Amino acid sequence: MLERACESNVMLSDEEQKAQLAIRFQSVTKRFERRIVLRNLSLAVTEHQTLVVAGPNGSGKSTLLKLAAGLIRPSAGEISITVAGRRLNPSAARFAIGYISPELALYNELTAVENLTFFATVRGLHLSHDELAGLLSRVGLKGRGRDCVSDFSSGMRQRLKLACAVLHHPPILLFDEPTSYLDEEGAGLVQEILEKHRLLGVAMIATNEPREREWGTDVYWINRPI
Amino acid sequence: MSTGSTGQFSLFSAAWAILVKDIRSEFRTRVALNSILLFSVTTMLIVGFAAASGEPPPMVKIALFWVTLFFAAFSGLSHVFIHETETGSEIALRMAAPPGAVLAGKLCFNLLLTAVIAVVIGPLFWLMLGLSMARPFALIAVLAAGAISLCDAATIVAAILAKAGGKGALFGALGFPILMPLMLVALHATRLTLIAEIPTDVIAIQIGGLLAYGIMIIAMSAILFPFIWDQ
Amino acid sequence: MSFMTADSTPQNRRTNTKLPGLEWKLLVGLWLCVVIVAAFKWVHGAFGFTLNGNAGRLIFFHVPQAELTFTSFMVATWFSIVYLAKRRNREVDRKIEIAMELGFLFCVLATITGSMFAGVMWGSYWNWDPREISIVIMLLIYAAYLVLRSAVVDSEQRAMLSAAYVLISIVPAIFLIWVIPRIPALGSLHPSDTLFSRQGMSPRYKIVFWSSFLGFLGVYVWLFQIRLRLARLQERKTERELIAS
Repeated sequence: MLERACESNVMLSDEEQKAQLAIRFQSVTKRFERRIVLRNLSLAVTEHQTLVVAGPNGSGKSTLLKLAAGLIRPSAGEISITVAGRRLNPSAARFAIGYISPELALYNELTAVENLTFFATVRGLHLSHDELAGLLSRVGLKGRGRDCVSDFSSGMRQRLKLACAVLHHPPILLFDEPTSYLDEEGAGLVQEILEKHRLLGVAMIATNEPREREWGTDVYWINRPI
Repeated sequence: MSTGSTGQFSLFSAAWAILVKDIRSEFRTRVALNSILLFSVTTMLIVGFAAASGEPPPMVKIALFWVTLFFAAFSGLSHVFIHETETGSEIALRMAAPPGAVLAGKLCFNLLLTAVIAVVIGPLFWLMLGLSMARPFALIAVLAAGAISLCDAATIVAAILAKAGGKGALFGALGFPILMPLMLVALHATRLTLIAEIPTDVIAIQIGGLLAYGIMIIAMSAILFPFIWDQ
Repeated sequence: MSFMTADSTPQNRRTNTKLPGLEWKLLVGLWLCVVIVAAFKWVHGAFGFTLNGNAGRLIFFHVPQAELTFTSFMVATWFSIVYLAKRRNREVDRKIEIAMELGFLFCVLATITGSMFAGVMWGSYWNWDPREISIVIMLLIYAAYLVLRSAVVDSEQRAMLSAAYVLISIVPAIFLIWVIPRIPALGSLHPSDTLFSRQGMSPRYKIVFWSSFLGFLGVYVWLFQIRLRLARLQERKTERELIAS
């Protein structure tokens, strides 16, 4: 198991050091009480890269993304996010991150529009009526803006989460199982978002779907099954 | 992606947005308010029933009032953070909102909630237990100062509790040590307001002590909340 | 293969069976023996205490324990500030935990000896004296801290939350130590300025008292070291198991 913790301790190349936009892990270890999930992991994702994190269940794909988003802290090692040439802690770089995961939820008591407006306001943004409508129709929720999220199906919630994750045009996307609950058209929507994003930013996707591995420019395997 | 220049203003508007969001959610679900009021009314009925069969000393009545407020506050005030953690919206909020705005918004919401509880159960308690009102204004000032400080402490304990898995039994364990000194002063001060001969400045010192406690807790919360909320 | 490089070096070096610092630990033991003998033989019974003044001898043991309770809280506070401000590693977190555990231990001891003293002196084992209230709330603070630790699973989060809780509880601790005992209306039975005033204690009392305090401090440091070593060994054991699996 240890030997297969692949590419550990890679040195960062000069190009990666100089990148204007990057996610870097340096000898990161995350340990839960009796289990080491990630051991001595180093990686770097830079501009125009989309890194697909693959591996069996429980291998630590979600943990990796949570670390990048600053939602949990590593037991050892360092994680940094470079935005416009400035190196930041993951939690200080939130303004530049769009994150979704199965554990993340929006407010059930509020409507779709109220959710979007709320998350825009706390980020210090103002969404005009047109922008809101545009965002909703982009994720296929046109006309459902006034419905409470509690009345939404799982797939519709996932779509709204996507809208929330991209409403501030983040240069960094961290998508944990982005197509869960989504139909064909929804999966296409995720693919479209990621393809457009590649032109201007970086992204990390954690996924179990073999098809989605094709969406990335690189694949990072954790405990690849032989 | 607007940061920097409008820093102060966006922090305030973010806090305001969180407060409005919480009020709106509360109006639609009424979980916190209903549970608090039901709890308070039940407790009052039992206390009133017990008091009718024998006259307890005034200090015991005051203690009953503060204990009721204490548990009512804790059951309701912890809701603001625990609800976020339980539903998973905490992650979304952490990703989007600055920690300072979260604390400010939640604290304001809890202050409103505490005000509602105090306004409802305060007069009812006094009527039901037949406590004297020798100095009504001093009494109101003591209750207000005590309730505000109680709310400050309950809010930060709730933040820790929500992160610790939101187990209900923990609230008493974590909250009691923080709240006890406050309760002792509040009991003593309330007792003083029932006696007409006590000079005003003696009560004023007690009120000052209560408010000082709340302010110290708020100051500590402001420093520590970013760590608690966002590791 | 260890990823906690900061901790693992001292143990690797120490392979001999000799206990570290044996000399000063023997000295602490001897010192306390002398203190105990002095407390009962050298010092005379004091005025104002029951049992022909013999009850006063409890002060030599009760007050140092109470002071170590607060000292331990200060130690925990200091390490909590260090943890939150800069050094977020397991070693600092461990020290906070140990300081809180030892504080809890001395708090229990101080409560028991205090209650014994109250029973002999004032006729009741519990008087709701402000200092008694203070110590019992300190006991609650320590207990709450330990309960909080046991409730959080993620070790980084546990360290952060518990350090924050220590710092929040400074507010009640300040209130308990400085404000509550000085509220005249609550009427403390404890004297508030005996320790540092000129005529409070006779010279012999003072010598034995401060010697006892030093001895207890030595025991405290000793316990702290043992506990720290134990924690490090446990950590190494877990690490080995993790690597083996």
